[in-house]
Amino acid sequence: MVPPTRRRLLRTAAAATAIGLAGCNGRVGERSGTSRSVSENADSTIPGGTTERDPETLLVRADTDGPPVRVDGDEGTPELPRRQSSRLFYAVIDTRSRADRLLVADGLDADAVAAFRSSTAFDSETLYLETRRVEECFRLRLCSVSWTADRIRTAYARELRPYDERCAAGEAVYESRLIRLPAALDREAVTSYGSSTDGQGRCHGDGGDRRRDRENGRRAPENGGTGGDTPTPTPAATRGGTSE
Amino acid sequence: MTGPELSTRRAFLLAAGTASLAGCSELGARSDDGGEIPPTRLPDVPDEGDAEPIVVDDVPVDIERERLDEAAARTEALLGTIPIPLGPADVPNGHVREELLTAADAATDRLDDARAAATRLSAMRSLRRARAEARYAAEGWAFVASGRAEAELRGERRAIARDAERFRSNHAYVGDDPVRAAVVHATVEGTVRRVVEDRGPSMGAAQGALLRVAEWGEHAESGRASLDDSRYLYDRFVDSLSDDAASVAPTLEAAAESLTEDLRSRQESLPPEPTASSGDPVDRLRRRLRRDAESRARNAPDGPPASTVVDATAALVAFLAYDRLLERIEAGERFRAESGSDVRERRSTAIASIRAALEDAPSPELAREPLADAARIVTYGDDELARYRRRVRPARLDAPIRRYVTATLRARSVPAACERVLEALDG
Repeated sequence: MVPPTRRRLLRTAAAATAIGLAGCNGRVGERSGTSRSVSENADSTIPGGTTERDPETLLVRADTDGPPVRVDGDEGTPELPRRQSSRLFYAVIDTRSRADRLLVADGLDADAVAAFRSSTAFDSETLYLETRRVEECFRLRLCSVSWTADRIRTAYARELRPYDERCAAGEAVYESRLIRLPAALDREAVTSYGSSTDGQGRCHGDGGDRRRDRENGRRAPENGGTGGDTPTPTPAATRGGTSE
Repeated sequence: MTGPELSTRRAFLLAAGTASLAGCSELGARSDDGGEIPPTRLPDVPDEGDAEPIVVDDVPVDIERERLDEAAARTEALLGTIPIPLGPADVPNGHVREELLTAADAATDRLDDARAAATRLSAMRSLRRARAEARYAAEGWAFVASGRAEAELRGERRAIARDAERFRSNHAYVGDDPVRAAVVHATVEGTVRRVVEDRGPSMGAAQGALLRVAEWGEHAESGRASLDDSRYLYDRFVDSLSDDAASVAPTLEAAAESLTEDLRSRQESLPPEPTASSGDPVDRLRRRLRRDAESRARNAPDGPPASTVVDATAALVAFLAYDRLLERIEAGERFRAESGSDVRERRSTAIASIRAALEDAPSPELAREPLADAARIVTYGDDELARYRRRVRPARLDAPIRRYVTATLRARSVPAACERVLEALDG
């Protein structure tokens, strides 16, 4: 027997989770009702859920007035109140017709979004769109995304951008991420969202310092001036480091 | 910090007081009615963060003016390597730039602190901070300007730690007066211990290479300054001794042993703690003072002999303060202010007790550290009071009252604690 790939294993696990939850649907439904729960600094993974540490992701980072990528017609995208600096916007995109309503803010690379969207197989995959605010001189690294049929959690590490990238202290930009989940989720069934950020720049399970050395300072003398390019998953459409 | 100028808080309260007399303010200064205390009835404290302790640490060594000037010059030389103004063309990342500028500002502030310091020891300490902050900024810039590598600075810090270990192992406990020797040697021990034990800066992982270089620069400078100061204090002290000065090590060791034993038996004979705790000010004070005594008793014997003697002094102060507290609780005291004058009285009693203890203690050299500690506690209470600009419920003042009471109890316990330590040093 050919050993299964990691991705295939995860898919199977996701299916198993979905079936498991279907078996106690009533209880779950009762507990969550019709209201949505959103939490910040949630646990980074969901016990019993599926976790991807390196999902296919498209990052759009921009200094825009609102989320640079959003779903047209999603009125009043839910967000966390009171925490201006780390507002969370999210949307589950489970059908091609919904994916066709993805809007990209003017001046950004809409082609990359279109390409990412069209290479998604909605019968077995789901796009999860999440937008976070981040200080301009920092960036988020997606550590993991974790999901069950009714819950999604993301975990990020916040990292300082290289010293020679121009940015203004105290200003904030948006980072929108389209994350391709290898599972066919039902948007209506997902009622709970959460996200956590490690301010020390560590992903749970990070190794030693070498990786961070590369990522944080692209001119670190010991690294010979290489390797500081964006650590965020590719392909990335970026318009970061704007304006001062 | 009680200069002729009015603090902003004071000016605010004065204006508010005037307005209230005219009948148009809730900050009324006329009475303590309704159980709430108007801010104008509270002690006249400096703005938050501006309170200065009335006694600060000192060491019985003649620290030369020139020595302090050299440290200030070193700070200025480090700051001089950074282009001013440091702009986006120099360091494009605004956050990184801000970190460097903040450190440079902090260095300048510490230089100012050193100039205003009440003792040369505290000036020396401020200058150590000044040097370290300045080096942070300077090395951060050196990363950009000349590619300074973290490895160089780590190497520098390692070499300093090795020097510190060598210095420590050669530390000879000489002296003529055992009290003075204990205080000086303890100061040297404490300063050098931090260099040996504190091996790396505590920084977040996500700081980036430039700020890591800055952190290591700060760490190296701080280690170098501490070791240099330790050496200087030690040499100055030894030079000041008469020719017949001998080793005080046996005296210090015997005293340390006797005091450790004393602390152990005091700890063992502490009365049982009441199990039910209502969380009122009496309970809090009792719990805190007891915990303080216990932890000091536990930690004092960990150090080398001179530090043990000095730390045991503070631990004895803590036990005696706890005994005094229990007596006052027994006498029915509740430690909650009923009026503004209660708070004023607690504060002025604390200050008077500290001053009196400095006068009365059989050894001002030994008394200074625990009294500086008590004086710091008063400033914490002042900072808490400074936040109130409106009428306040008495229970809200429990924390500053607790600080003032603690400072008073400790200050009053200092002479007896010193007495006991002198006995131990006498053999």
